[in-house]
Amino acid sequence: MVKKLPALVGLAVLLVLPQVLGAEYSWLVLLLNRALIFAIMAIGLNLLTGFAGQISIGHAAFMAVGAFTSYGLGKFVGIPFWGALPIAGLAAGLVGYALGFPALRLSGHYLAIATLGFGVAVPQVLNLWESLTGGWTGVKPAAPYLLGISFREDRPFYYLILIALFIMAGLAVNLIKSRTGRAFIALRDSEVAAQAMGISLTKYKTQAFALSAFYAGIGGSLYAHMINYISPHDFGSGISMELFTIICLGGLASVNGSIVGAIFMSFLPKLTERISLVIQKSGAFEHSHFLQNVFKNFNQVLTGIILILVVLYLPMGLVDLWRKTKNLFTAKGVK
Amino acid sequence: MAILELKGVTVRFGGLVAVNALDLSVEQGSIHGLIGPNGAGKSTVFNVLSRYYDPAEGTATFEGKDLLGAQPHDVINRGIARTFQNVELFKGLSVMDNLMVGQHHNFRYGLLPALLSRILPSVKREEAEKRAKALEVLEFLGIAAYKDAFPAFLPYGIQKRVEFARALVSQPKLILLDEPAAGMNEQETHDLAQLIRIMRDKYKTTVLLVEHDMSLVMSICEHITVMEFGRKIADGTPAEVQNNPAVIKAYLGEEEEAANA
Amino acid sequence: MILAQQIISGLATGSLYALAALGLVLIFKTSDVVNFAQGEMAMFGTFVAFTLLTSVGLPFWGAFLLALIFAAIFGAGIERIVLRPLAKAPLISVMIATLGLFQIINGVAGWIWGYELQPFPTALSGAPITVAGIVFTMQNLMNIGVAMVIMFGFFLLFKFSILGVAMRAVAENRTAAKLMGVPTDRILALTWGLGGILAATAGILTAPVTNLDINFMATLQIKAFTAGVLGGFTSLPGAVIGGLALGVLENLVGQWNSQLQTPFAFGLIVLVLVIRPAGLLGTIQKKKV
Repeated sequence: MVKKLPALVGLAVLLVLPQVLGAEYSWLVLLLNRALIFAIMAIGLNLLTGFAGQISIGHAAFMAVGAFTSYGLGKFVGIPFWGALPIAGLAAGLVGYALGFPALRLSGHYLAIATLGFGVAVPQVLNLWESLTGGWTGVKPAAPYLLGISFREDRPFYYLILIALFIMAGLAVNLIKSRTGRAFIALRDSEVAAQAMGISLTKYKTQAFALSAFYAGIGGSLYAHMINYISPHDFGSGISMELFTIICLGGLASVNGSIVGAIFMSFLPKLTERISLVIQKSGAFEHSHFLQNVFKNFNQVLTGIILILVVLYLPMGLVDLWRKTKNLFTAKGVK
Repeated sequence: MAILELKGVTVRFGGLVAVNALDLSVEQGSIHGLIGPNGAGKSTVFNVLSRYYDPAEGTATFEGKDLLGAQPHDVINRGIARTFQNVELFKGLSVMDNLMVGQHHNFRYGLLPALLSRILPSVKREEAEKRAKALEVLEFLGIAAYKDAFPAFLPYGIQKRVEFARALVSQPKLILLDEPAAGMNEQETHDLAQLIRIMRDKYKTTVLLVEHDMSLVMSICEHITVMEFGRKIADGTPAEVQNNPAVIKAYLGEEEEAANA
Repeated sequence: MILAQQIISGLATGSLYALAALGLVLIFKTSDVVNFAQGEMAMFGTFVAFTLLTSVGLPFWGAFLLALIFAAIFGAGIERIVLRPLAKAPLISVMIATLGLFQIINGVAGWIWGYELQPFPTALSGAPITVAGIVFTMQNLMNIGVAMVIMFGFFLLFKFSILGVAMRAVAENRTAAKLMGVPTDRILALTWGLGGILAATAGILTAPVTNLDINFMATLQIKAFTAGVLGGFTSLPGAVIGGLALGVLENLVGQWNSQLQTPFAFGLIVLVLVIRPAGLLGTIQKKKV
């Protein structure tokens, strides 16, 4: 029970947060919504990269598939959000499964390059498919509606996302502690030994891709209906990079880390923006174009610095920082 | 009766012939040693059996059925498990979970139940069964105390044993041990020899081992095949092999080289 | 004749891909790092040339040369400061680091030079030359010419100089090279410096066509990866051939639908990797057990 305490506290905070925040903090709820959707997708990416050891830096493409499937089903087939959400996940999962096959032949660098190319190519192809995606102009997915409740407002939507996150995180935790999760870790740590244990690389790598894409598809669908406006170019390599950064920062092979990382990365731009606003208001750097630029776009460089610092000093991510601090107090150390 | 039968197996890497027309016959229930100087092609033979390498020529049958048509991940389903020369434990998994992976092919549930693994009673039951089985093997090998440890924190000798346990827990008919005594001291090697023998008697497993430590090989093997430069140069009981002039020459050569180096 | 024309323009673009891919492959071969920040290094170097041209007012070739010197120091510095401490780190850590570098270089360039698209002057201007009915624009001629000169010089260096021999030795087997007395650390820094030069050259030649902003190398970088994969990623001649081939193929596809060029490149990556993972000229190393 004590072990689960931080997670329980975190959950309690997430449950009450929108209620205690006043109307002037609506932007914060919106930001939280985004953060939790990214947490869902980051958990999926972590299953693939952190656990199964297969790198993807084009994950936004799966998110795009989920988003437009969900939109298209609502718009052209008349399937409401509730039905479209899981189908969007499955559609993305199917694309992930298909990508898993060429990915089988690749490892490490090559896989990174191929997924990078995939992430760039998919938005461009979607852009050409104007009847579905609206091309450059984009489209407007409708807000979900259930039992007479509209989820157009950010607060109700928040709880919807929270439930989704809870379910998806739960499934991931279950998976990790199962035969399949162990097979993922096994093929990450030693492909030859995994094969000798009867783990088929084809089966488990494609499964990892499909699962991971399923998470991204669910996230994409939620995102589309939350933001109410999407175009293919919203799912570019910037989003893919953010997802990748989230799991590296939060901690590879950690579900909690994915959530922490997603919240951190969603709030970082807002934080630096606030700070730079204060500094700009003070008029301190009025005469320096350079410094004004610095404060206008600080988080990109900060993201880069964080990535490098994590790699150099905190290879296990933020969750490791937590573990290390905890060990300081409990003086238990490493077994 | 031979459980494993290799005929004319030849493996080439580019122009290099790593294994040359090898015939090998392993009797069911025996402890069979595959020895030879460095570079003789012993590990290559293991890697052919594990299906990592395809021989250019030759056949391999296990229990009378063709083995070369199998994928690497099918080999364990046929009843062949192995250890590796340089320990290949899964460093992200505890010792217990390493043994759970060792039983991977014996599990029945698939992906969807896996997503609910801690809720579905049938899955929980299966997990518990496998865990009990793993614990039994760990106890048999005297390493149950390490069940929750991660491999990287264990001494090399223990890691070797964990790998042995991981192969054994799959209940193989044939177990391939690649230098099981490497890095062990005399006492540990002696204990290991005992274990291998007891294991064979208890689990009715056939053992094929590659080993450098002559004392281990001579003390536990009933049959020995000697290789040099990819060829088989001798085959027989420990006593026969020990007195074979070709074998003596091959090993003397190696010792001379070692002395000159 | 139209086909011949297409091939010539394809080769002109392709020689830029070849340059960029050559830098990538060189760094990968010697230091085992796929440098995701390569395009940003090129962008930064191009901006340096831009400043030298417009603010300092140097002539084109002077600015070009100084920018290359800067790119070399920049590349070597990155190796020294970021990559060397990660020499023993797992592959994913190194990759994360180069992706971090990507963000930093891109961000800092924005701080310094802003976010607007700027026209980049070209060295050669003048009427296109027509030979046997095929039109050669000055830009195309310059791309092909400079790329050829740089690549030829590079091959001479790699094949015949002591430095080249040392680089090949490090690429082949770093431990053995070290034992033989090759100063591997210095060679790695030098390799990154050379990689930086190749990247910056590609950038400076690309900028007049695309114009210059902090993201102008993004597309070229994907193409450089494709070219590298096409050529095998471990083969220097492969990178050049891959780059030229990609340029020509893509130009032919672009005739049909220019928006399909990048999806085409991705399709090509997948196709090549599935059919022949080692690329046209590469080799694959199997892990020893």
